Amino acid sequence: MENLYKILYKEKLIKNDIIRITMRGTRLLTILTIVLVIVIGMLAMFYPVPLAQAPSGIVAYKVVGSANLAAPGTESFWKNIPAYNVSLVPNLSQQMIPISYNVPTSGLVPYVLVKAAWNGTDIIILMEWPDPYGPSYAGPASIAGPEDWAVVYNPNGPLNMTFLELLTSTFNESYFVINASYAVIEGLPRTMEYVLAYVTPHYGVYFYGFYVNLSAGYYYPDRAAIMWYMGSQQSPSDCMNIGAEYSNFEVSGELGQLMQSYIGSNVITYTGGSLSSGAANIWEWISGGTDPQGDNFNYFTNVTWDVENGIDQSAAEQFATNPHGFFINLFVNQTGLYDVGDGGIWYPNATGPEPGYFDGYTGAVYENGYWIVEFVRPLQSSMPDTVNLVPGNTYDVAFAVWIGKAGETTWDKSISPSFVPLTISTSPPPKPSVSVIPSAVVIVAAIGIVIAIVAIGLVYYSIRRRAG
Amino acid sequence: MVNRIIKNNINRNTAVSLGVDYTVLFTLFSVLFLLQFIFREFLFYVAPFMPSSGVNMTALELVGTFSIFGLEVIIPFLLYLIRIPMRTVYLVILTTMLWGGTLLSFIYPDYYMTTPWLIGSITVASLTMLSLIIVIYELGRRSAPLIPLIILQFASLILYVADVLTEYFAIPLGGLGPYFVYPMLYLAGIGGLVLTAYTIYPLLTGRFNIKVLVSYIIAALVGFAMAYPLYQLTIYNSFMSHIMSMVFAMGLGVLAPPSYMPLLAVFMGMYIYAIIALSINGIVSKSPIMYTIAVASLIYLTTAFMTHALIATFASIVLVSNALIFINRWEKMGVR
Repeated sequence: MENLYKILYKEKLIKNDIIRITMRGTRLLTILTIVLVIVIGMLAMFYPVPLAQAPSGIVAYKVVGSANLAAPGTESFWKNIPAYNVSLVPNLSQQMIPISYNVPTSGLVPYVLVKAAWNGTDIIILMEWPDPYGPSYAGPASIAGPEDWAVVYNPNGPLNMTFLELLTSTFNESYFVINASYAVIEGLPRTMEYVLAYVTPHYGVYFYGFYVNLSAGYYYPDRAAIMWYMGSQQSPSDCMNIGAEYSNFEVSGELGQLMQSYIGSNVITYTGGSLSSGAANIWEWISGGTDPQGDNFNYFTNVTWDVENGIDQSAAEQFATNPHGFFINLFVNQTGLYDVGDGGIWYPNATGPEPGYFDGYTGAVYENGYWIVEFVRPLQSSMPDTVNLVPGNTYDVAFAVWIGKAGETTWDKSISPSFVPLTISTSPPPKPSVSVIPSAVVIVAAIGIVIAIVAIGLVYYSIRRRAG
Repeated sequence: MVNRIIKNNINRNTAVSLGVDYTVLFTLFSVLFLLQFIFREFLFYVAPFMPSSGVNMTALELVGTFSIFGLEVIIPFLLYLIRIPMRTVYLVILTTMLWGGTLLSFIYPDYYMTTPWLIGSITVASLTMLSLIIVIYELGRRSAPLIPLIILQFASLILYVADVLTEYFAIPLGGLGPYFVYPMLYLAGIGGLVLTAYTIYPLLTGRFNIKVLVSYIIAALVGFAMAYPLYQLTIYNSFMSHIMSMVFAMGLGVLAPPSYMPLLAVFMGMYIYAIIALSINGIVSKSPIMYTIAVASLIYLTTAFMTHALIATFASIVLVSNALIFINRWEKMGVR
């Protein structure tokens, strides 16, 4: 039979080399393959063998030079590094947390442009996002500024005033009515966030957003945050979607009983969206508090105030003599959100005083409708519960942005819906030689390479096919 | 007369050969892919939300690890076996990238940031696109049930190339992503409808036998049994639809509003039905093309929404595309 095939093949009666495989004893090959599958598969189960990777995500290139915090984004090395467009989504949307409706004021920033670099000692992250409302330097609520006043409404008719009364009295807050459908609660404790999201809509009271009165100076600071995932999961999921620190908080009285009918308990077991996939370090820049132009920046330049709030004395003294823009470090895990390096200014403290409290530097400028904020930090972590960065490694990062003048604060923000890989490359940025050529030409050329490979492949395939 | 004798002889022998070697390895490939999808791609994301006192998730994830390495072994061997034009090109490039990456990770862990590797990755992505185009070119009308999924996969590859060009070659293509979100969701939906229609078509034209009918009923029952609880869970229960929305986002990479969960359950049922129906039908009717279409749809769909961060992802797509081409050419020669 095999000879018949050989004759047929030679005589071109069988036009294709497919048939040749029937002539070969491939049974041995099959057995060998199966044995190899089992051996290598088992080996990989007990010994961590890396899989071949395909490059993806943001890249922090090695650059020469240092950050110019007075004019962020103007450093020459940024010219050679393209911006990565991170799409943002509303935090308070059905897509991100299990609530029954979308909050109309949440998620006003559609995207943030991100660049990353490192210069041997420091990592530098540049964020740029549109803010059509203009810069806000209002002090953050927890330091001295206005409290977070929540606007509630009923999109389907008049507000349920009896329930509103019950809600506010349970949390010892007062309120005032704007019209039949809208009211303002003067304050929003973090536990009330949970009740507002999951319980009150069932009684006709929906969270609309935070109260803003620009002419009266009633608005919030602008903020930007970068989250560095420190857990063990590969590409974890719930990133910037964090919230209250009160797990197991009991809502007492009649509101607690009403809550039972919808939640099944009057105890808040949900951790407010705290990071379920492991721990993470957050770098948060707050225009009103950590930026030198901020209304409350002078709190941090006051050593006495710092020490009273659990900041390391020597760090505070050094900072007072040479104040600079900085970012606060937060730590988040399955149980909640914590301050790192202080006594708990915003959230419960994770560590207490740490000498590295002011080691992170920021520079921020608002121009042409955009915020440009640069984060700088030594690669090596100087405080516990913060991320240690090693060149050559890949990290999962997420981003969040708040527009204070539009009423975005605390849990009302724009977030990246999933983590983005960020690799600290040991090489310099791509050669700038292409910069003299218009970018459209470069794009066409690059896409042309892909098309060329496909086209040449098709021609080659076609020739081989006919030859076969 | 002579021709018929020759053809009959070829038929018998080639069929035997397919059964022993190619079929065993391709079946193993499809099983390994399914296992790596369930226990690696899906479970990695969903496992942290499972109750800790249940099944040992870490042990299950090891099944995923086994499967992905099994795939890395079996792909080069199958590429060697699948005799199509350009087989050598695919074999050499993919094997080099699959195992070269592992080897380099011991010698030079930053290999994947180097220019040669970047060019290699783009070449692999381009070859993957090429294999998809050739599927349509070779299969012609037969590729119709797969066309929405092929376009979906193509879109995913374009996004990958755009990402690499932006981040590694300083070409500003980073803003492309948002334009692809909805078209890709719609393509996945259309893909489910088309694939289901493809399985139903023989029933309408009366070209089926009792075995095929039984296979369809089994597939429909499995599809229904998988989709109905999800549908019931999410149609009236807003809380569960939110939870399942997150499971879809995490496990499958599909971001859809919670109110769409019942609809997603219907589409999931369609895909499960169509893939199982085609697989069983392919086996009982001894139609390798049908089985291959089932495997291809599984691979095209499940890899389209995830980041192509592994060379094995590209290699699986290339392999299944080439398997389609191979089987189609085989069947065109009158061999079944």
